Amino acid sequence: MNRHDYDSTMVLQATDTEALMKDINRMSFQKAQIAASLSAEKLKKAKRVILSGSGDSYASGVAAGPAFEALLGIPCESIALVELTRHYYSERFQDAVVILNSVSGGVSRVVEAAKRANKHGAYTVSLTANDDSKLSTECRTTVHMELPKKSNPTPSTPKVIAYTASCAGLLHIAVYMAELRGAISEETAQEMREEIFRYSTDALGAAMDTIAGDSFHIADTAWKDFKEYVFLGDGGDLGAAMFGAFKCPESIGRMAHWDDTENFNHVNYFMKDTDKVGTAVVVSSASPSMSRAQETLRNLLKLGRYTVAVSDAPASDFPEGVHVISLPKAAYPWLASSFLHLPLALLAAYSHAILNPEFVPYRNKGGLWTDPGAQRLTASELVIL
Amino acid sequence: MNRSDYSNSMEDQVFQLPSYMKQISDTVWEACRRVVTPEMKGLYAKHIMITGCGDSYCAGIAMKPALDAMLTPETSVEPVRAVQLSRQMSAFRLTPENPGDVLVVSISASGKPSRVVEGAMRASKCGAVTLALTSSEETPLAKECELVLEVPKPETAPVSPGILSYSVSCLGLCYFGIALGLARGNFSEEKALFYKKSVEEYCQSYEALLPQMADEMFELAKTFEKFEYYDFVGDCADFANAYFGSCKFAEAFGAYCSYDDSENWEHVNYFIEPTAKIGTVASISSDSPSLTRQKEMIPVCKRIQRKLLVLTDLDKSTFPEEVTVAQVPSCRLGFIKPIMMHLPLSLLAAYIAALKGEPYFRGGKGVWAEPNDIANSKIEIK
Repeated sequence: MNRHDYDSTMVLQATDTEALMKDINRMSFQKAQIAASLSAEKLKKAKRVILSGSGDSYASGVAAGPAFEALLGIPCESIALVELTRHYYSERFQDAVVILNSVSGGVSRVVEAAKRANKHGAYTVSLTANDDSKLSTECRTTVHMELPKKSNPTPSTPKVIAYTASCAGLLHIAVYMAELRGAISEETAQEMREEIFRYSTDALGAAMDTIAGDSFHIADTAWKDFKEYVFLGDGGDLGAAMFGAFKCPESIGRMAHWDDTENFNHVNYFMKDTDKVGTAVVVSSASPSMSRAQETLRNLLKLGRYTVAVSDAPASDFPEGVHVISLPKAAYPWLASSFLHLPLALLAAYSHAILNPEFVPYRNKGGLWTDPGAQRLTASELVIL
Repeated sequence: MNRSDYSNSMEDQVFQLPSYMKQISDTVWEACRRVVTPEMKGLYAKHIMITGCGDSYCAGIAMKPALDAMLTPETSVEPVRAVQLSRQMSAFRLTPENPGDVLVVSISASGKPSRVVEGAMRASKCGAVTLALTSSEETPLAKECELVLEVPKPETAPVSPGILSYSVSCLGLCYFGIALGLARGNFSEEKALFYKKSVEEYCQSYEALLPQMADEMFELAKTFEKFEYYDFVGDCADFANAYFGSCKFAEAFGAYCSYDDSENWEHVNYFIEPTAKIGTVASISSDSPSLTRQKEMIPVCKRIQRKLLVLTDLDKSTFPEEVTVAQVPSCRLGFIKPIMMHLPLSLLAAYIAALKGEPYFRGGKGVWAEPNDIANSKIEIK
């Protein structure tokens, strides 16, 4: 089989990361562009950062959140939207920078989040591709994310590059905030910007043929045939694991479970039908949980489960028998988490393309799933607490 | 089919629970009062983190609203994954600006899992006050913590998913919050005893309802056992109910489960097919701040033809006919409900396992013959 016969629009969003991210970086994430969008005064005063969104956008906050804490030295919370809008402490919005990520900016809950955060004194920032959206209008400011049209030729393609861009955008905001607050020097900030750019473009581009080849082989020989999936990760890597899980229902309509490595050993470890499940463990080479991830991989092999490891560490760091997809080693401990989702996107995308040559994801948004205008997301009742 | 033919040790735990909670209530309360003294470091903690693995992590999520009710606005409460605390969390978040600012409560009945012990060691190293909620002062966890809140360890069948122990952890956290609030002067002794009495009455209120609840869950198990996948949905404390249910389904009969909150569910798991093979469970509390969003998933489930079970204290008439409702007692203090609200799901897991003839934890056979490594995982203090 030639993997290029399965280059669906979802696949291409991952395999074309280098070219797409070059455009996105140029159009959206230059220091001057970010600086022009954000209030230096508000960023300097912030005592905490809150990242939120729904689905992929929530996962991007989980992936990039550790960079904010590492660079700024203040708490950064990555919070699910419904938690932020209905359950989170109102007192904690004061002195907070709340970054709300939504490509469309039209989902009710994210608009509700902006309204609530504003009401309680937060500095709200939308990270969106739609400057005219309700979210953008509601937030104090917008960091614009220009997504090239070729990155998403049909609206019914599960998003990959939008997630990659969201993670990169959040990292750039973290670096800018850290520089502004004097937590890192101008020179260090520039080095970090260049490294985020280099890693997301040239480094991934150079490795993509191998990454895509390995992903296609795994998808074709095993992954596409599993009935269900489990994705594991800790810290920022949990964000990549969540994203990997989210792509399964969207593309092939199958269920995916996500958790951290420790909880897995207490709960999903006991799942019965071990031959029906594909399990992926995401772990950055610099992760403080590397030893627990390695133990978990050994446990998965003992259980006889088909196991994939996605890491910027070499395959030799993992037990024999694990199917490893390696990315280039990241220069900063917080960097890899924002890009380790790419092989997981490819596993879902190739499985979908092989099983469904018409490349129709999201149940074609028809039949039972007919929901014009995604009313279930955009017409949900707003409640501002 | 007769329910009594499918009796099992999980069902036993459920039926014991109301009387067991009554039996241990004073003991747990006194233990909390002994730990919470005016001299206690962490008495005025600005931030409390609650951690544990599996059920114990879930107990922290379940009881966060109760602790919030007792301790806000001075204190924020954060449930934290064990591996997040022990390996991933920035050290500065565990390092207090002033002594006693950060209190870490680690939950484990056995006190043995490496990760929870490691978390306590790391938190201590960073300067946080550590408290073990565990069954004995002799557990490995207790030995690593500055303070120990000793709670009774229920006697159960040797290999049975924990139900009593989860409610004990929830009770311990709830009473700890009350005792802390009282010691701070947030409310009077009379109010504290009112809270305690409310908990006791709420737990007791299940006793008379359990036979009917068990009958209903047994009947439902005949349908639910046929599903291949289970999807659990809830927000905040309702998420704890949902998550705990998913844990029991996995432990009891090896189910494949997913879980999410009500908003993310609409974005992601909504797209799963074939819907006829999925049992969906939503926990919806009458006092949930996200009640409107949680209820919005009901017509969506109908449209995509999902079989939906709603765990709720709302009246059955609130829901359309096609929804199966597992009704639990309402409560004047909503935040104490999660101590008991999981019982219908625990019963459902128990009966599905019994109907399938599936041994708990896969019977310790085959690939599960060797004990897993949760107590032997390598400890690293980062």
